[in-house]
Amino acid sequence: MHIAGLGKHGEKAWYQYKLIRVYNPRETIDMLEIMDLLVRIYNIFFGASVLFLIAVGLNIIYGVMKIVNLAHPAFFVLGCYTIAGTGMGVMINIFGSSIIPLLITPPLLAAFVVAVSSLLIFPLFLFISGKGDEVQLLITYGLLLIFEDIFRLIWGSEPLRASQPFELAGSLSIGEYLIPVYNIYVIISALVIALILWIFLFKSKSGLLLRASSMDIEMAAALGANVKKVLLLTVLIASFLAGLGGGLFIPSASAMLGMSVEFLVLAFVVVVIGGLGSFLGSLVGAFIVSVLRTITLILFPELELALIYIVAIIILTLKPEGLGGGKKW
Amino acid sequence: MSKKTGRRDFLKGLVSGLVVGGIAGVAGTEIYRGLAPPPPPVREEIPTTPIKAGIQAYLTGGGALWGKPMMQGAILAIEEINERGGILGRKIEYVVKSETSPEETVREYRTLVLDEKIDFYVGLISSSNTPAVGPVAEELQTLTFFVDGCTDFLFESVVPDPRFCFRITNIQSADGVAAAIGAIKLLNLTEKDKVRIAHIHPDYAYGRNAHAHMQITFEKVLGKDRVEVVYEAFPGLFKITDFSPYITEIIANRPDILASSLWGADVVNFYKQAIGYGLFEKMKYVSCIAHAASPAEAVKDFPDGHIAGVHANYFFLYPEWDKYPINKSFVNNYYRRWGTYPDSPSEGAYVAVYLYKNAVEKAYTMIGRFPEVDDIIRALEGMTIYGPAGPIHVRAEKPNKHQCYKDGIVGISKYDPRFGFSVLDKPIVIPISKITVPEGWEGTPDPKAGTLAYSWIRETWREGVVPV
Repeated sequence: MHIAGLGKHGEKAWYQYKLIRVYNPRETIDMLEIMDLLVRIYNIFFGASVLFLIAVGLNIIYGVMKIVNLAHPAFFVLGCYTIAGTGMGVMINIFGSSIIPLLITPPLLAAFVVAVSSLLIFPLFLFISGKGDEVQLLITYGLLLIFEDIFRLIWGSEPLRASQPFELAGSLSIGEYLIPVYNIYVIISALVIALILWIFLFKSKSGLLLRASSMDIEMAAALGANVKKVLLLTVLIASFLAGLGGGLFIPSASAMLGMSVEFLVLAFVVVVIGGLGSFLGSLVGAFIVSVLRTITLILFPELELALIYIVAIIILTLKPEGLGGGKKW
Repeated sequence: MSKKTGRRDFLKGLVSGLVVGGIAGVAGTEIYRGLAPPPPPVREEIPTTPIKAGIQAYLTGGGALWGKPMMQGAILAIEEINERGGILGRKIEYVVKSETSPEETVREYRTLVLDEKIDFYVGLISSSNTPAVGPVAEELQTLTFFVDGCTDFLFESVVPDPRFCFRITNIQSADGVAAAIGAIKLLNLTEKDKVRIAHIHPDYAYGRNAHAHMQITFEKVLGKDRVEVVYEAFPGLFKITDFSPYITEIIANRPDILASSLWGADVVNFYKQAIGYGLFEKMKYVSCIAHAASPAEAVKDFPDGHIAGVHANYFFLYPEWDKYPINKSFVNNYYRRWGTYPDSPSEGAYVAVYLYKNAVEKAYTMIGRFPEVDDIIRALEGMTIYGPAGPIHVRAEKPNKHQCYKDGIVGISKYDPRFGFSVLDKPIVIPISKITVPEGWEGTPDPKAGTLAYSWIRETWREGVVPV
């Protein structure tokens, strides 16, 4: 058969295309491809939720205290370990295998433990606030390593799991597809947390104080704000969110040493893309990183995280303050 | 005159014959007694100072699921030997150091040799570390048993003519080959017209090696055009906690089998999350390594009916206990000492210590004094001993000189309520001689995969034939 206008190579390609269309069974099942897409979107939301919960605290601390807190992911991992190492066992002793309390209590417990621990290092934050970048980076990174050693000291070196809620929640089947219900819970929780945080930051008086201090802390002090109290509130909120995130995330994975560093890198890319010190920026950045990761895995699984860094470099070159930067909050 | 032998003469002759014969017989035994033993060597006094062993194992991070049992296996062997009076009366002491990154691991190794003055060394899990420590062991001239870190590169290119390093665990290429053959036989893949394969492996030397050797085995045994690779991913080792995007891509490409060498914390995270997405109902998971270490933690509720590899080494239920008491007593002693069941790394470390003991004793019977390191090496080369996994042989000649070989097994995963975790069911034994480069083979490593085994399979296997 001659196909007009295609030329020799074009004709071959057309035949190959036809061959694929006829013999590739996937072409005929469009429904499945739509489902693939939906599951991918679902994964993007899950990944973004976790990244958002880490990055937002990093951003709040930077916004108000101007500290690039490299130890922040360790707060998140402390939340993970609190639940995987101790908390989940206690909760199961109390609640047995009833699902609702096992979903709700662990993140709150983790958030509480992490917030209390952050009080212990609050003086350190006061000390490095206003010091040079290199002092802050060295001290916060050192803090991250110390945290890792504390995890090892308390919970040992083996990976720990707390997967009971993940398993109890089971999977939702849609057609021939299964998706884990627990991840839906994480996504919804992250949305609710984001909403509450937004209301707090933009509608409450403390939120106003926080935003004011982040814009000009001296002016805020001159106008009568108790700066020390504001700083304490900042650290408490940031660590509470990190703990909450860790407690929410851990049932779907395992707590292991070295996790803090992995999350540090990802959270940093989120912040770089979204803009340092911006609430909306961390939301946008988390989504972009999560979308990029999924695209990489579809198109060039070999590259893994490379695409994320490439985009981060492009954004840093074109808009160094990040997508949401410049415009505060 | 003819002399006739009379009755009296006959009797006389008989009696004297008996007497002479008897005397000769007795003398013969005496002479024989004098000849039988080898010339008695001049036995020198054995020193009474203890022998010092150095153990180096992953005690932190995702690799601890391997490092801890490895350390426990070595310690058990040392304690057993000490309880029975030591090696030629000398007790063994041990020092434990931690395995980490290559530079740090080498530094700790040097400390063991130079400061602790160890007599022999048992350690290492990672294939990044053995090529770093191997040359140092040769330089410092210390008898070194690598338990794992089984990369083909070590004895093929890094230390091609080793004197002081030995390695217990089967060579890495055998891992991927054994799992692929296990999958082909246990899943009857030869009966399928086309097999769609997805791959997921950790992104470093081991994952790449497993990927290459599983793939070439599938292509050779099933025929190249019957194998279709639909997806390949290489997540960083212990860097990914959320595998859901990978799981979704694997499912979306609809493979028949998923070939994987994920291990340690990675395999736990992967399979737990994959259960949530129903991956295991949609394809067969072919793992070369998931059941190999700490099965009680690593594969506690692993789904049934998938291909379970043990790194082509050892699973504590096999060889069956009633048929092979060495394994039974090892499992019992290990359980009594550590409260858990042994696995591939613990068996490897246990065998390493016993190889040392056997070599020292063998050398002693030959030279009559406590052997120097060179005597022990001579005794080790070509030695075969019976370990819990069966006979294990130390290769004496190139290629892969000083690599140990034993038959591997692959089975089907099945939850066992007696133990409370997933075990190997219906295991098939993969004879190591059929899947690894034979002694004396003169080929060149494949430029792409970098191993001799890859070229050997490519050049010598017949397409479409199951080699085992």
